[in-house]
Amino acid sequence: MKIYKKWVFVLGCVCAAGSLGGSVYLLMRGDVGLGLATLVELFLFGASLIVISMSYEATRDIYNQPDERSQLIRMKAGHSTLYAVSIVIHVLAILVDRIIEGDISQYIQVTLFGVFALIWLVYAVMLIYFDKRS
Amino acid sequence: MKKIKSVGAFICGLVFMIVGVIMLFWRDYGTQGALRTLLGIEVVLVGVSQLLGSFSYEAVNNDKKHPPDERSIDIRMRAKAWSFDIVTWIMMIVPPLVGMFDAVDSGTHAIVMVAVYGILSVALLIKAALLIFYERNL
Repeated sequence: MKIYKKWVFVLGCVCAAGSLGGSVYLLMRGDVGLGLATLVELFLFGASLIVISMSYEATRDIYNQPDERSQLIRMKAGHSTLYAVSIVIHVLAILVDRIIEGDISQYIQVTLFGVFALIWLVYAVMLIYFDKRS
Repeated sequence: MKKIKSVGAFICGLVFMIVGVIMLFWRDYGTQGALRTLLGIEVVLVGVSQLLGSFSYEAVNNDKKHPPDERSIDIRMRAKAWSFDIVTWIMMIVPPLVGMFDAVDSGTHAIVMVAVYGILSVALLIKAALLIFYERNL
């Protein structure tokens, strides 16, 4: 694996290692709440930074005009991400319903459904926009 | 009527919107009421996106009957890539804005923040992994 941006990689490692340590500490104290959820997210951010540092397209200078292949790669990645995110959102909603009880579960489910609705609304608008433009 | 590419999607969108509006009128106090109102707004949003989709050939085309050409694939990819970027920015901006205007209490705000940034972090991870995947396979 080649690392294209070292500082992004280091930042990702710091985020992931710090949050992992924090999560273990909270778990040992038996504190399983929003703090732990936030640390898990920070770990995921760290992991995504590490992966981003290994992608040429993600770390490429924006002033450097992307060629046709670059544009295609970015479009394909964005295209597939939306499908993947929609599936992940539904899986998370089902898991939250099964695991967490009470008002928290409903807040999270409403937020998940809100993001899902927003994604498809923007997609419909973008489809009409690009259909007319191209 | 010619502009409607799929009557089924159009009717489906209208039904979603009507259900969402009914949920909005079914008001209640407390947490349940607030959640039901939010859900109503979201169902209306799904209905609006269905309604808009019914006007788009690319959104409602049956690929088995009419296989998509290069232009269709390009339009769909562009739309999805831009949707992802726009939704990412909206998701990053909304939680701090909600906090700034004291729209919800701090407990709810914390839960929503965790949920929103959770989706965002998973999405970023998937996008970065997909970028590497396509870089190697294209």
